[in-house]
Amino acid sequence: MDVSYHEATETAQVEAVPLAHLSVEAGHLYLDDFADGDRVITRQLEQAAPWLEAADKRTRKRFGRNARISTCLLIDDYTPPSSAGDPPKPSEVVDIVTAAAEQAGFKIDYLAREDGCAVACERPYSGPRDQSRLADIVDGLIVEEAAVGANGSRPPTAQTGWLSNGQRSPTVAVAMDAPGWRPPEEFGEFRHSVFVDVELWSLDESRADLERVYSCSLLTAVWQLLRLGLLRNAGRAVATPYRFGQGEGFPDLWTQLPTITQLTPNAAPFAAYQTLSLLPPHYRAAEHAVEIIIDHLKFDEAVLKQTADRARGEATPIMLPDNPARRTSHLFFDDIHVTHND
Amino acid sequence: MPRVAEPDSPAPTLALGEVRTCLIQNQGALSTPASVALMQLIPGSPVSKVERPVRRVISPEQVTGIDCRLNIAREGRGRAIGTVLSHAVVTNGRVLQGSAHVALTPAEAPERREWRHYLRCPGVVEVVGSPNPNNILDGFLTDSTPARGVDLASISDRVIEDVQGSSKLDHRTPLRAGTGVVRWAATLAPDTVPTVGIVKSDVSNVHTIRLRGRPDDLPMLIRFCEEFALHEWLLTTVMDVIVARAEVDIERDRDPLESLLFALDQLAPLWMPPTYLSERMKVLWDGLEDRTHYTTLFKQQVTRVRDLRDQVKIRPPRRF
Amino acid sequence: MLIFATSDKGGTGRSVISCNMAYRRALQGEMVAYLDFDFGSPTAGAIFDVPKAERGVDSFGLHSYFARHTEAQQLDTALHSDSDTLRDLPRVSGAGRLVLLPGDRDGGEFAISADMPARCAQLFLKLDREFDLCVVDLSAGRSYAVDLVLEATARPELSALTCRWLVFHRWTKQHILAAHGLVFGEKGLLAAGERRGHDPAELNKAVRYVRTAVVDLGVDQESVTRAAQGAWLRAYDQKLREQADKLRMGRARLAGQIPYDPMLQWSEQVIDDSDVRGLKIANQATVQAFEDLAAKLTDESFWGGL
Repeated sequence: MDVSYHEATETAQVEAVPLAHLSVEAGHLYLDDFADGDRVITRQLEQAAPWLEAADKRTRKRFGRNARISTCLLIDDYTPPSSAGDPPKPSEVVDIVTAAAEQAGFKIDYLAREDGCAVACERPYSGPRDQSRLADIVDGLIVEEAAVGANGSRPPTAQTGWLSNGQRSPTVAVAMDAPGWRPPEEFGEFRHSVFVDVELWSLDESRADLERVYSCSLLTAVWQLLRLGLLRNAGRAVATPYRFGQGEGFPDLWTQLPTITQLTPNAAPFAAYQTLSLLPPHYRAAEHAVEIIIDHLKFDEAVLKQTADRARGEATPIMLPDNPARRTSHLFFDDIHVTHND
Repeated sequence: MPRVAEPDSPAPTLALGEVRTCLIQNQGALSTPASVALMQLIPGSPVSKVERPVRRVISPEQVTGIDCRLNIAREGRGRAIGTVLSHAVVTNGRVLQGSAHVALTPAEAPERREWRHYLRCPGVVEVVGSPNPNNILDGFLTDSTPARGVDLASISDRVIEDVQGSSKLDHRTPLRAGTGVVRWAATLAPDTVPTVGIVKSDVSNVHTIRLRGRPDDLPMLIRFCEEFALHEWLLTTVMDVIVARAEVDIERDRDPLESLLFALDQLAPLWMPPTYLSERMKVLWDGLEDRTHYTTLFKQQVTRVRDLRDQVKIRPPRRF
Repeated sequence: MLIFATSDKGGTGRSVISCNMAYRRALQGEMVAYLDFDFGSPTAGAIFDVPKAERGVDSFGLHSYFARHTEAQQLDTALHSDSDTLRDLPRVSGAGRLVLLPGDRDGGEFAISADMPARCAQLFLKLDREFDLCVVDLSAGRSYAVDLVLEATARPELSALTCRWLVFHRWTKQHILAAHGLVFGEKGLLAAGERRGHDPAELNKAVRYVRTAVVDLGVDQESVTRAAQGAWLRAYDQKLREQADKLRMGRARLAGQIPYDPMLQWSEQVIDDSDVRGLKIANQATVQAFEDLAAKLTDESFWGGL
């Protein structure tokens, strides 16, 4: 006699997401950057174009003519705009972006918004039922690095909203304590430390519910993880790109827009085995923080396995590195000005 | 559950754990959705739920990093680096368990490696140094000094406290009962037939278990310890708390009806030995029954509770 | 149920009376925890005659629970005390247990850090799951410990717990005034509680008083020898009563009245009937007063009826 009994709710099924070979982030702009129209975006995309072309060429050389490459742009609608007056509407920004990209000689396939990285919206006008609190999810995946001597007696300090890559310097209360000062130390680097303490969130004291305000670093980590196809909510895919139908208008408010809007029909998948971000140099610190955050995440093993299996099954099989942070690349670049003699 | 089949890492040779068992601090038993919400200790990570034969809702595994000296009996030194897993279990919306466990493998490098290396195998610590496995087991099981070595006591306790402090509970205590503690250690080797040795400590509500099994038995051994902890706690609570106090209450003319009914309605249905899980589990549990007659004992206690209830109903106490 | 025992001045007998009250409840079948929150100078270990906790334990006491995040150890007095009375408790039919959560020997006062009230609430919740009664002995006067428990008990997770306060004071004019100040004063319990989110009126409903070292005028004591002295004492006692009534500390709020007993003054310990009947070193009235006070803790008409 052989009887088996199993309940579907015992282990969650992990939804797969389609993956491209390369996802190129052509820029990361604030709503303020659109205050004087297309100047900033035009300059950014025009600068990005040759690097994008080079990346495209290299990817096709390695993975074949049909290699899947998608482009995206992140709009920061999380930071409240500083300029007076109404911020540009989503439809206006889409028009400006599309035109600027065309001028630069390529297409922006996906437009994402940063607030949608804190709380993912799957559709326009989404409500709490189809939203996923992605920043909370990523925060919950962080496993703090154990200090030497940590044996589990004390609770982790991540509850403070900070994550570091080393042992913090003990607090020095008064100047008289100064002789007892010890330097902070990066874990595993016993000669020259690059000690970094990353703010993950802070509490907005002005609000009664003490809502967390997520740092740019954490939200950018969410963004990179979405581009790597590594985030799920209870096994479900999240922030799936939404394509507006013919005649379906964009909402007027950014918060009503889905997290990721697909602008180009038939674009390669949004998420990819590898990501490349083409950004001005001032994003360097935040992107370093992202790497530290990703280095401390405990990923769902089923998701990692699913991604690795898919990569191995490609026409040109790919071996993904164990560390997802190694699947992200950056190019920090900003033209120095040329004086025109006219 | 810890991953034991990591292709490029050696199979664990030892595993350590602690399970704490107590009542959920809520007036009524929790519904299924309430149990699931309570077990959502990590947002977005899946909660596991099984309805039959008893409703068992399990939180996602929490990961705690450690890098500390092992508490080793007699002689030897060892440094453990890696992560401990812990999860909470709610059974029938009534009983809460906090379970922490870790598998030990020999370290390949003599010093600490980058953190990502340890995150690749959650629930595994690498041991630098080569202490005798028996000394590790004895050090963990017999030294009850708090906070020495890998502190699974604090980790499992924190699971309980985090859940019990949740705003999803009303924090009313339906029955005052102790927290059961089961501390276990397992030796893992290929081709081993599972064995179990249980010792009841002189400290009340504390048991230690030594187990043996194959490395791939580990999830089953963890489950065995959780099931033992649950059943042992049920038996102790009904026998030493409910029946014993009801007898005193009747003697002193106080009304024990409420706690007797609690035993019958809320605790008795939880008795469901895990023999249904797998053949290897059935062999272990049947062996336990042969030695302890737990199920018979529990049935006797439930009969005693029924008798006391009938007695109280026929001749109600004078006071209250 | 949580009982907070406090007093404005030292020497009220707060700790010894609280220990005896706790013992009485355990004798009646309850699971009782006694928490030594007198971080500066833990004394409960001495009263319960627990040698390893005489002036607090070496490690894992309540002070380390807060300051160093260790577990708070629980000492079952039946196992750890040298007192026959406490060692014999499990042999009394139907008796419960009396468990001490000791302080640390070198504890000292500490400033309240941000996570302490939550940790304190967690401890109270945990103990409430296991114990019918928790007696929290706070040090005399205003202290961090008082602020800590006020902040902890204001937290939402403790709203379902029954918390009651006993203010101990000697039966003298100064002590009555001091106890009144401790509760109603500018920096008193009610004002401090209000700052931490308590409703002062509700908090006041949970406060009762215990008069200590009261000279028992009904008994012909050796100390009351002359008739004139007796008359003066009765008149003075009447004056004190009037003062207490005026200060909202009158009979309706009187949880207990502990007679003056030389034995308690000299030797702070847990006493039982054998000390009265057998050894005759303590007075029957003292034991009876402990018993009455213990009974009052759960007398709902007394706590509700204001």
